[in-house]
Amino acid sequence: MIRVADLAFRYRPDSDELFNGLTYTFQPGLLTAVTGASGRGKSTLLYVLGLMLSPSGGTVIVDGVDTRGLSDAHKSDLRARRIGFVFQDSALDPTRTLLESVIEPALYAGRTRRDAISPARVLLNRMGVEHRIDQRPGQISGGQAQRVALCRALINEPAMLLADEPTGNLDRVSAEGVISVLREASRNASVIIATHDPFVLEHVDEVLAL
Amino acid sequence: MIALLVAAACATTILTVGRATAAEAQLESRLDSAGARLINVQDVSGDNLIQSGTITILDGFSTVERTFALSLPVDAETGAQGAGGTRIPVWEMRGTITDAVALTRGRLPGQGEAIISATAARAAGLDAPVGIVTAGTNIWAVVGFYVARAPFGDLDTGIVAPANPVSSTPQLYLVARSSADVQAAANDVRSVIAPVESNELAFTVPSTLAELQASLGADLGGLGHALLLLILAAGSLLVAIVVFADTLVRRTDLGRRRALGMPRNTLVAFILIRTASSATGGSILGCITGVVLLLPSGAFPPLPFVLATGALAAIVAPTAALFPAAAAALRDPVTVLRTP
Repeated sequence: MIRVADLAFRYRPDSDELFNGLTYTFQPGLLTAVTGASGRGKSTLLYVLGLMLSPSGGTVIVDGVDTRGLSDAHKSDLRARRIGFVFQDSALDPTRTLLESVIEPALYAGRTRRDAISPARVLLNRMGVEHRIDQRPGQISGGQAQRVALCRALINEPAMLLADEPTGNLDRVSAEGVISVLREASRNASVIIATHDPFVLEHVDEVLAL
Repeated sequence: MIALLVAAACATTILTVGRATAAEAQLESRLDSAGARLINVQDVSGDNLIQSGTITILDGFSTVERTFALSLPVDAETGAQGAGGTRIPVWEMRGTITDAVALTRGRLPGQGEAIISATAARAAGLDAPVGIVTAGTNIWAVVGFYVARAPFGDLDTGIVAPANPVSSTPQLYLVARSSADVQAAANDVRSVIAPVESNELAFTVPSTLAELQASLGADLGGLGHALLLLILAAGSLLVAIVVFADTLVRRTDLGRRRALGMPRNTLVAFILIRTASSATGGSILGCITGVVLLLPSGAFPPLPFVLATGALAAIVAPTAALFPAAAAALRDPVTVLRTP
């Protein structure tokens, strides 16, 4: 379970403060959308939840652990083991094969390549891209790349899955596929989606408006 | 790029500092030759100050490599050619004969016997070490041929025989163990012979050469060190710049790694290992290139120098990459991952 308490964030000392002391609990088993006008901090909230940004006020509690004051190594370990992230443009490594991209977070979580290959193949098969595992991102479509990014985010069975505008560059069919996978992932994790896409908002369980 | 930089630094080091080191070694070798360590002492007293015991004592000093004493040369003739034949100088010697000459045929002489230089033997028409040589009332049986050892090339013109107990051997030759030992060895001779008057012994000591060697060695060594530091500093700066530029070019990749859970320390290690592996390849290439380019000159630096150059370059490169690697690890991954 992921919880924020009195959350606030500034990019710079002289910039506007975001979140206004937000207190919220992101329940496991639910698909939660974070929405709001441009500049309200939708993506920023995901980066704060993902421990890539430190809040200027309040705290993020991941599975009962207050992340204030954690070392970079501890935060990195939490990111690798407990948090999965799907970036807006998939952010796949253009030099790695799709299989190697999915395996990458498992290596940072301390697993061996041999141990990670089998679950990676299972995930890629579920996403319908196993026949392309030896190809590189430049050889697949945007929708396929986003599905591979989802596999990468799910490889360590995270407690929290963060998706930043996951349907932003996709057609309706691909978007439906992504939402379907996120829905399935929400059975075992808190899934939080930063979005302004009405189609996504129609398919989530809760909406947090910033 | 890093491999090329390190290769260039290694090759430059070997071609400059390495060549200077080789030249320094050659110079030291020449200055440290036996001739540069030779002390000649002349007993001008007429009192036979130099005896067999003198040689025996001097041989035991740590500053002395080898020593012997010679008589003044007298002309001798071979028994085969007689009085009208080739005149050959004879030296009577105190000390170990092989300190002055190397036997090439026959055997070493005992009392009443002599060995003749190969050159003199040819001039005297001797094909084998047989026969006699005479000088006044002295007769020696020829039992061997020899060639003179450096720096006693003058002995290549004549005959050497062990001195009889009453012969005078006023010329002492002493080769010091090193150039640095020359002065100490000369002092040892004075202390052993202990002349009543200091002018009873005339010394010829190559002290100037020893001082010159020390001075040149210091100058060359200092120049080499300064040049090496300059090359290392310039190479380090260039490596740091290249690594910094590389981390900028790859900031999206590095940011992704951080976002997916790679800790900062691991990221720094990742960059340093990449740099070290490139540097290792570059140092091998550079050392080989430097040595190959020195082939025409023949002035090769010692192997430990080449290996040390390569090892130093392979270590300095990742060290230079430490700061840009740390800067990359501290860079905010969100900035590079956010899609505008």
